[in-house]
Amino acid sequence: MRVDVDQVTYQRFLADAGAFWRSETRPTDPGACVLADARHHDLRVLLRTLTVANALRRLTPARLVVLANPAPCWPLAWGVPYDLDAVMELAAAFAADEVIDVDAFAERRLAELATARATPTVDELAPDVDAAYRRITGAPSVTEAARRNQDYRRLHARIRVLSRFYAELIAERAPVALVTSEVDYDEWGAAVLEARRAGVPVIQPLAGGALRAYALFPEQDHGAPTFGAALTPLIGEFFGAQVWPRREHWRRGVRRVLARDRAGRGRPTDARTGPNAAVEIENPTQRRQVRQHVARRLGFDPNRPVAVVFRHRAQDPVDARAAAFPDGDAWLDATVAVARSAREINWLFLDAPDPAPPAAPPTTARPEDRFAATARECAGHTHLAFRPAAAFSRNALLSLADLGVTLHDPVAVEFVAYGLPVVQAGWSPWSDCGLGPVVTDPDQHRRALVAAVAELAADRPPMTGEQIERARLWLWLDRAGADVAGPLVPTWAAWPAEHLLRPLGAYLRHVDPDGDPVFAAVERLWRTRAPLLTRADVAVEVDRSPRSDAAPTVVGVGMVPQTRSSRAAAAAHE
Amino acid sequence: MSHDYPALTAGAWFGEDDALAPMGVPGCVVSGLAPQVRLVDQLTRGRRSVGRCAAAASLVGVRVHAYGAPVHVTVDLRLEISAEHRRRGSSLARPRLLLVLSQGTPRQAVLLAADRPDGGGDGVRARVSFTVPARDLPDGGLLLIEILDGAARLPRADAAGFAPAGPVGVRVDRIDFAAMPVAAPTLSGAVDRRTAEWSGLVSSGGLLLTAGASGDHPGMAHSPSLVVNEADGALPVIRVRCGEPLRWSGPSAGAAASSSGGGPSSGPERRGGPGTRFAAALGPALRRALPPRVRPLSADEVEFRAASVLDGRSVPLAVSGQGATASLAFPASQRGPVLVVASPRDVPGAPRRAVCELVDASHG
Repeated sequence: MRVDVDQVTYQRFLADAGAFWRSETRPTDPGACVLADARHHDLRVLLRTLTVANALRRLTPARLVVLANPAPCWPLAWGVPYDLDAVMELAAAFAADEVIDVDAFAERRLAELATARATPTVDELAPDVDAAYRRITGAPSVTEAARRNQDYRRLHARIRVLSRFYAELIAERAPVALVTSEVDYDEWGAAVLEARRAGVPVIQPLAGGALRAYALFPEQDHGAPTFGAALTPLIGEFFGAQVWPRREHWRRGVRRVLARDRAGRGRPTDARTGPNAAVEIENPTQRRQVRQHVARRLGFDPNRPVAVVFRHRAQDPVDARAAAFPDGDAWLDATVAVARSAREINWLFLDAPDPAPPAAPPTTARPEDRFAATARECAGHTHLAFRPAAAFSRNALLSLADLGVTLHDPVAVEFVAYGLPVVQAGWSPWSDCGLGPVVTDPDQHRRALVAAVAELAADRPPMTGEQIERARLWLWLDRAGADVAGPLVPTWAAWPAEHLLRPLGAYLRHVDPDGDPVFAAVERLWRTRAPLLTRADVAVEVDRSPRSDAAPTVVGVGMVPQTRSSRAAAAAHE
Repeated sequence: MSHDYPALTAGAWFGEDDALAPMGVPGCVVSGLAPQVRLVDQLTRGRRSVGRCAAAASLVGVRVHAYGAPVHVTVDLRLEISAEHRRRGSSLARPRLLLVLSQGTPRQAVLLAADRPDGGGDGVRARVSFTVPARDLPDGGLLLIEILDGAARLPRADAAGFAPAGPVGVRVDRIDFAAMPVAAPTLSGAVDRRTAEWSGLVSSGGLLLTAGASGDHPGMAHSPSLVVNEADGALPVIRVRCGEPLRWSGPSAGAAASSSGGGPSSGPERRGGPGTRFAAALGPALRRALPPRVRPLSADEVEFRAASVLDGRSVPLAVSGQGATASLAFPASQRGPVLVVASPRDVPGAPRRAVCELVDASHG
């Protein structure tokens, strides 16, 4: 954890937080606990995790047990040291009752069992271990040879030990919930798996925005293999049942989110921020003009359609059971194979935004980056171009693209919201929200690409207005409806640490937290068992009685909606 | 094939209300925050300049209403010399060859070169001017100006002399729109160096900005190459003068030797006293302040080659030398900007480098 802030500010914040959370979480029930996973390098993520855990403790009195200290390879992969003492200090400020040093436990148990030499078998933890191995070593995929090497075997042995430890911990403490910011990699994935097995709700606070979180409750968990696979249909169902039917209510909010997105505010896709984030094209004429210039840079004929392929980060976890491809390189190969023969349109391949090499030295020589190798192989094809992600602003990209191809980049939502079709081949939270077809196997991916190319070449619009509207509504849900903004969890952009901790400390010290939006949102989540945290109850019946000033269409954007009963109560009070 | 883009049929994702009026002609843009600067791509908007190029291809779009008439556009460019440029061996110190496009069509090429290898001066300015015909200005459209790396398409040997990703760091100071050419050359007679430079006809490295000096001056010859643009639909005949840049040998040369290669064994006569140390400290500053020294070369000591900036193809040149001045003529069929590079002939005792400067340009 890196906190670049002076000790006076930091200690003062810890003191304020300690006083606040001790009074908020008291009394505690010694028989119940909330498990919070603090194995992360970013203070903002830890803040979110611990805040959600404490908000739960306000609802059900419980002790707070914090899991700390990941394997030493993780801080190396992050490039940020993990300071256990600092995390213990922070946990104490959030009124934690116990901090468990997971790494020390795992090492002790590993030394006792000496299981590191055992050959691992592929079991349900393999995807998590694979994801961890790729993230730590920087290998694009896990080969059979890699499965036999020492690093992989050690990871696997460790995960078995940890898995048993999580199972015992959960059986012994019977936690009310597990709050964890990571669900995919080895140590975290195993904890999530054990919690789901034991029927413990799992809440995942997300990075970015203000407070966003996904939740999986045991009564809705029907044994899907991974957290993501279990959550996707739930989010789709929530979206279809509660958000989409009431789209008229959110229309103004949707327009605002879109306008903010056009201006480059809000959260545009990570690589395209700063001066390149704004969408400034105003009409088809301007788009055609910009397209002419951008196509010339690439040597493309501007009159032919262009498909833009967004490569995802090589180390991103790919949910092996929900995605059509085992890893990103397989997807890239399959897409290039189609692109090579589909000469009737142009193809622009964009590299991952930051293919940052991990700091941990890999045991084996790292293979050449597949993107660079593919670009070299395809040098003779004039209808293919390979470029880094940052080479294009959003103006350029949206002028050029007629089709987006991605594994699970959020650009999929952006493109559809701007009226450009997307072929997506990986799991994403919006996959079941009707933004477009999601392919589930390589053959389907190929057929979807071929069909999209044929439609583009034949000049047929390959998407419907409803898909666009759904994408825009998802954009609203992601950036507004399900992003709980309150002083208790300042927005992600409030950084460096001083800008985060000073106002937060002042709030903790001076403001009474009754009715705080974060507490209200977590209470609503806990009560309604929704799959995601929401700013307001999006399903609430809005008062539609005629008013003199304006239609009450903005209800739910940042404010608790006024219902008929609350308004009547207010009138009675007067 | 006219392609009806899906984005256009599928939804109104473009701006909702276009309340701001476009810029009338004549007009000028001096700030990137001006409301008429509607679109930028890889260009960081400036407050007191239009913006700074951030990549090898930077685009700026201005809403201009031309009332169905052609618009004459003048773009002021500036390359600031920073400490980074002055670092020894930095590729940034190499000249920048820029190709300026508008409405998808290459218009002019321009060269920005510091007047000596270590940077020198405070900056270099250049100007590009061209006329956009009325048919290229559709209703509701933008006037787009794109600055590209002109060296990208040159043969490798020629491209090596220029900075990679030339536009990066180049500032667009202002853009003027006029109904009539303001500074365009007419070539009714011979055009001198400063006018040719300032109108963008022949760019031999730009105009130098020197602290304290009033106005811009072309400075001494400081670039081995120059770029010739079309005027009145043809490339002009140019007369150039060449020279050999000499090292500035001041008191710092000896001082530098004594401080770097010296030491106790180098003898008492090499030890610098206070005066020498002072000179050593002053040397770099003097080098930057004084104009570079150039020894004139006769036309037959130098050979010229030319390449099209648009496609990198070699262009045949008709060279006729008269003493120190060489006259260069291009084929009548040649279109688009041409890069001319002067290099010393490969004979024993020949100078290592040659720089050239324009004497005048005319239509033969």
